[in-house]
Amino acid sequence: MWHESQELLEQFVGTELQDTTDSLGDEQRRELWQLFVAIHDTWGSDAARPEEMDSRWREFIHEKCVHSPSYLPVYRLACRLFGQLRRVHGAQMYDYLFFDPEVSADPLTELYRVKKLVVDEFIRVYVSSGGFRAYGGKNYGGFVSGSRFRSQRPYRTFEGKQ
Amino acid sequence: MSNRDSNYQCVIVGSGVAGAVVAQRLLEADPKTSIAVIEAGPRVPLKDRRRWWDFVSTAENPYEKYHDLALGRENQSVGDETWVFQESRLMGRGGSTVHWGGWALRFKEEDFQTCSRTGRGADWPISYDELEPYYGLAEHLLGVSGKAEDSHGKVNPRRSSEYPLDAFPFVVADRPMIHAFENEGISYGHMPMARFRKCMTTGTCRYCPFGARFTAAYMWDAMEANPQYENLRMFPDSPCERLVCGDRRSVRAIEIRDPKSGDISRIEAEKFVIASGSYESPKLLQRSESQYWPSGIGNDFDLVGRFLISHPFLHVRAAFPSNANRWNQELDFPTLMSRHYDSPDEQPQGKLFLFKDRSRPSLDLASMMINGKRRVEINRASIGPMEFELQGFMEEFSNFDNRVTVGEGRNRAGMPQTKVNFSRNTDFRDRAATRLAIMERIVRIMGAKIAVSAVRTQRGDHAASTCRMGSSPADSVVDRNLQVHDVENLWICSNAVFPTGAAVNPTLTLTALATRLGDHLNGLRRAS
Ligand SMILES: Cc1cc2nc3c(=O)[nH]c(=O)nc-3n(C[C@H](O)[C@H](O)[C@H](O)COP(=O)(O)OP(=O)(O)OC[C@H]3O[C@@H](n4cnc5c(N)ncnc54)[C@H](O)[C@@H]3O)c2cc1C
Ligand code: SF4
Repeated sequence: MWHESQELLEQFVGTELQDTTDSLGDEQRRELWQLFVAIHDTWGSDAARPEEMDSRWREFIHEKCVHSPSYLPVYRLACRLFGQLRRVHGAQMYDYLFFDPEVSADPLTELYRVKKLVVDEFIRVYVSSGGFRAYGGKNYGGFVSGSRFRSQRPYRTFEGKQ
Repeated sequence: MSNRDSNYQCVIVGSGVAGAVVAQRLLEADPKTSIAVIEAGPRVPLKDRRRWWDFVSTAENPYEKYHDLALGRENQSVGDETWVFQESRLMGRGGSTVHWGGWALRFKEEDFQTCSRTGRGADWPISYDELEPYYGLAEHLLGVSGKAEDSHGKVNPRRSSEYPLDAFPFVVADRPMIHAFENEGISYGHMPMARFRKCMTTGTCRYCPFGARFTAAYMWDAMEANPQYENLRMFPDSPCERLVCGDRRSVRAIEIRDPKSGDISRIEAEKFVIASGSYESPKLLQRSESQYWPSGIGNDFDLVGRFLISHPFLHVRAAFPSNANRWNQELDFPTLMSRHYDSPDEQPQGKLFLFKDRSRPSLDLASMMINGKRRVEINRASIGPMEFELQGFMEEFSNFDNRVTVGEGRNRAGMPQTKVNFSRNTDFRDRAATRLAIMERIVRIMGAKIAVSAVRTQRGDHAASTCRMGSSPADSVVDRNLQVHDVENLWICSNAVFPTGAAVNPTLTLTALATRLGDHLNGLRRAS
């Protein structure tokens, strides 16, 4: 978190950066989880279910909230924004967030920042938590695939004659 | 000017693997040894879950603040060939192994005799045989996974010990290249990798969440936590400004410059080990001018900082029209390599060490989603053209005019910036073309279409030879025991002492040399 995301975060939350308690409400947590599930519904497959990624996702959110710079204010704002967007776009809200170029058009808007710091980061976490499997492969950057000493290889290997 | 603490038995300048190994060796022999470790950079948080998640979720460089800035903002490259400093070393506790790849290969026997065999470069004053037992120790220390035999069943270089861990199996995407090697009778093998048993193949090796890739910082963690090593002191954020001589034959103290205030403090010691990397080690000697050494310590023959080399990086990128099995690299390091052209026959042209790119084939699924690609488009891309690269390091011969000196201004860690004057040898282009021709032939046999075949801009990751080892001050800076010629209590431990760089990565050889130096210093202590 040293370049663009850091800058965005700093501009965005200003003095609240020092808030390091993981005090997301249940409602907010549910709203964020819904976003994660929507990513799965849009791009995933049964090869990896979001329920299997739940503990990883929770650890991610926890780490982002309790350590500085805290994402708590960003997540709170995202939840507020999603509420507003849902009123405008209804069931199409995620389609709008994921595919409408307008969302990323203006770096000065809250929407742009939420897309970068919340939606895009969730996508990366989703893919590395197993979402990549929908497109083939056994392992992917960020996926804790396991030890090479297990009989089940943690990645697709070519044993050849070597 | 203030004096910090007291008088130490040994001062080590630089907390990279070289400094860490020497310190560990001294402390193992006598846990009460008093050692001051002087490190210009700060402590780098490692195995930190939040930082790891930041890396996974933003894909941004986790070490940006410990690196040199881009040219134009820091350092000067003044030769015909641009020299890239950024990301070519890391300034912080643990040094450059905090961000290294962990490829851990031994040099071969003939690498120690480059000049005798080719008439170029220099010979090492020590042989492979002398270093061989230390290579074994180094492989255990770094936790190297490997397989001794190549595909032709040969073990070259000779070895007296097994690798401590089994090799990583090849990734499935290595297959077409393996077939091409076999068709051409080219021997190949598993890339020896410094990865401990606990590696979980997470594939974020730049920032390992488990500490499964060796870094010298973990050695310091263990040493600093060892209650027996009560006289070990680490001074981070403490750039060493110069060495102070007591007379021509000895160094008495080092001076440290506070990066914020500019205040100078002094630490005295009996012995001094400069383990500051291939840029800073010569710069420190150059800056340490005195009545005893008017051109800097060990620099009467104007050799300090000269003969700079690093590996030219060759790459041939190509693509297959489709990727029906959706292959991708699946690991963050290469598994396939070949030392077939890293042979005595190839030495006059520049030995060639081949490996398959660690990051191709790949599809950045998350970026495609972030950029609004639909499932069907990503699916199509995942079975679409499959890009890969055959890459190689080429051995380069050192040249007197290629040099590191003190640059203008200071860097972010408070050290003087670096000026590099680097130009290619006149026959480099022709020799590189013959190497690229070998690589292109292999790729053509694979049946892939070549898109790029080139030498990349020169990076300093494997910078070496700037305080080279030799038998006399007229041709070298340090002797076979890494002692600066004519200075009884000063040693350099760095890739800077390599007379030649061979074709493979340097750090296993450096670790072996550092272990040997530790033993040498212990021997001196016993003798006195
Ligand atoms: C991106 C990258 C990948 C690499 N991958 C591999 C690989 O896979 N295999 C391999 O064999 N090699 C690899 N290398 C090379 C490897 O990192 C180096 O060979 C090795 O780390 C050098 O160790 P060192 O201890 O000599 O120097 P460093 O690790 O650079 O440590 C020197 C330390 O000294 C400190 N220092 C310097 N000057 C002063 C001063 N004046 N005062 C106080 N402190 C000072 C610096 O801050 C630094 O921490 C890689 C390098 C890079 C850049
Ligand atoms: S693959 Fe790399 S990041 Fe993952 S556990 Fe192994 S060393 Fe660490």
